[in-house]
Amino acid sequence: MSGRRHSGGPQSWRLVTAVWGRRFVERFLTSTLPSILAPRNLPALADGEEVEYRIFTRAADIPHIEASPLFSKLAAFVAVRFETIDSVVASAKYDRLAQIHRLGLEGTAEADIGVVFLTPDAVWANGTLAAVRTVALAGYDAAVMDGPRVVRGPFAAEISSRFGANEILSIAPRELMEMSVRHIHSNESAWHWGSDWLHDAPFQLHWPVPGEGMVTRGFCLFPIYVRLRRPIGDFVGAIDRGLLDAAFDDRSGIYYCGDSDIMAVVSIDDLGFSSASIKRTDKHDRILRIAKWALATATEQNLDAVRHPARRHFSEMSEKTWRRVERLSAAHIEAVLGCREILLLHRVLSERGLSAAAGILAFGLHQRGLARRAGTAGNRTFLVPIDPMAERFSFVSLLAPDRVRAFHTELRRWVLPERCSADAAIRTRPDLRIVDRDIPIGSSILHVVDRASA
Amino acid sequence: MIDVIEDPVQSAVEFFRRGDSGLAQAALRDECIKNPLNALAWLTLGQMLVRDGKLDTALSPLQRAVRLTPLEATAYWELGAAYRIAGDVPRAGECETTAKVLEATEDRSAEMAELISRGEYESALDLGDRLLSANSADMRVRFQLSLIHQAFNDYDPVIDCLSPVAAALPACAVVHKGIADFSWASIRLKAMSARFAAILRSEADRTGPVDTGAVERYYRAAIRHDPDWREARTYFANFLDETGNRDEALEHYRIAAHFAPDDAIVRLNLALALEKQNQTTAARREADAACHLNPALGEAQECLGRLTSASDPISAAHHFDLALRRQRFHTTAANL
Repeated sequence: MSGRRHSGGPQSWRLVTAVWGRRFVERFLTSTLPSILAPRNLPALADGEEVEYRIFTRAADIPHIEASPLFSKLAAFVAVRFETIDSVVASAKYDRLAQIHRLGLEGTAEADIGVVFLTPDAVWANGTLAAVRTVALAGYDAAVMDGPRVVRGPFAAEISSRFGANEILSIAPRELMEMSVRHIHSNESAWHWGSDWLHDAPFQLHWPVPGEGMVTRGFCLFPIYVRLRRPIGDFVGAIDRGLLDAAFDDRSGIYYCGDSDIMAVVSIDDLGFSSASIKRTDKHDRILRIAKWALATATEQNLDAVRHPARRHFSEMSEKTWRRVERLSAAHIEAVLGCREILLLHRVLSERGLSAAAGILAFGLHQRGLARRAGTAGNRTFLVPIDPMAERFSFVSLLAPDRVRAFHTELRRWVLPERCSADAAIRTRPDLRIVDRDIPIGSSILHVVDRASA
Repeated sequence: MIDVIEDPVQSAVEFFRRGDSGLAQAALRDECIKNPLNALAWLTLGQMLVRDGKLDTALSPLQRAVRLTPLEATAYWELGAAYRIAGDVPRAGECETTAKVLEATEDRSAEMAELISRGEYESALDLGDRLLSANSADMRVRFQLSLIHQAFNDYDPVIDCLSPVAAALPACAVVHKGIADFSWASIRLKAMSARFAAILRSEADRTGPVDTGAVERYYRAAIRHDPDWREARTYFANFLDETGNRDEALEHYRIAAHFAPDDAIVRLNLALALEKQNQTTAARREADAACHLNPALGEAQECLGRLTSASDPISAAHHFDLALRRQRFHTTAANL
């Protein structure tokens, strides 16, 4: 564990769950609640600590939760406080959820309270909350993790067949990961790099390690633990998207859980959840679509997060194999981020009316495999010709079907592998003159050029 | 001063009573174009055409009336009568059977529908369960229950709810299409999961060929009773395309485009199907139409870009450029 940290853990703890409606209350009572009561979850977290559990729900749902025999077990470990959400209205389901999570964070910075978010439709492996405590005591600002999605019906049936009603679900991480494979949700398949399908929101991606598990990289990871240093206002999207950007200027204190043996969870959803968003793809299309989504959606923290691989495994790991798959996944993600930067460049060119160069880039991305050959994002210099020059220049003729290699060779001449000032850039290309300079493209830079003689 | 609001259907009926059938039908056609969800206008137009002996053109408006009111008996009676006059005894019988079943039960699903429209699915589910325990033959309640499970993304119960409805209401195209859509989605999602699980376990994928015969039968029943329904044609074509029957898929995409020439998605689907068949010229015409109908449709711009990339790369670059400016993906999923 490394990074910037607090000294020691928080003064006290607050668990936060938002749950409403009969279906989700039922899931909470049969999955989240019995699994967090496993010995190395809540009992381990709460041992000697001051812990409050805030359950945000509708007034009508409170009696159902209180009636559960597990509720009294919960109350033995923590002080439970219901917060009614009847007055929390929002235009969309996730907006309401984000509002509630903001309420869950209120006052925690001032009182140095560590917040643990627990989704109501999940099973947490035994030991996950003990690991959260360890991470917190090590002084981290936040811990992020995520887990595979499973199909509710068959997964719930297996839970029912193996555990009695109202029995505590003490499930070891590898056992939980094995169960997740048995009931894996189709969305997970559509996030698998080799799949013929891709989900419209590829916020996580998987690379299988056959017989052992999968390497996962996620843009939007679930912040199970957050310890704010200052109060925060609004954040973009749900907590798995914009919370950490809003909370931390310095993100070195975020702990990315890289091994399901440490923290593991499965999320439970119905068969058709989000299935309308699954579309056909192929190796040419995949990188471009993921990059498009990342450009439109991913925050800076999300872009950091995807560089952290997580191992989800149900057996011992063959280290050499896992490292190989991690390297492969890193190469794929670098391709995505490189492509995202080209898309960002395209956007800037379009905004500035440099339509000829924008069109050439668009053509390259769709027809010339540029998405897969976009190079490494960041600290590059792009030289882009003004429209008359691009139209006169040989680029246009390079769009012909028999000039694919020439297209890429020519394109490389306009990208310098380091971030250069306009003057330095022009020294490498004396045939050009600068028309517009120092336009940021992420951490790269763009200079607009014309022929020197023009 | 008194504002007089004329009911166009009533006005048309008056014209018809006065013997001006042509004016009556023109008024109804006008109303159907202005308010395509006006089931009464479609029904009345169909009735008038039947009475004028124009059976070939009467069926389509009657089918549209059924589509808009799939759980009401009236339109089925009228459609059944039209089929009977046309000599299509099997379809007439199915319409009459459907109408009789619907007439035999009082419509008690209105409160459920109201709850569903307000998003109060769990209350609607409770009410539906109570109503169904009182009368298990209430097909309207089963239909409403299927909508609730659909909202929950719980596909197998949707199919369970709709299957008895399809058996009891054989002329109800909406129900047949619903079963086909959800069965096909369920099959594909389960197959995707099974394939991925096999990879993770390092096992051979033991998912054998899936029997899609039932899905196909339900789609065929839907388009048999509502042949002009563009969504049914398109979804059936998608199914056929995925199951390798591309020639017939193309035929249904063409029919959908015939009935919905102003629908950009339908034209794009046809373009994509033609592209797969290497019918580049026809595909380009359809993609071009889709782009004109909806320039913001990024997929259509991409398709047109691909189809013009060899012959006119400059134009292709323009279309790809437009496609990139149209962001398709807006959402991210969260756990709830």
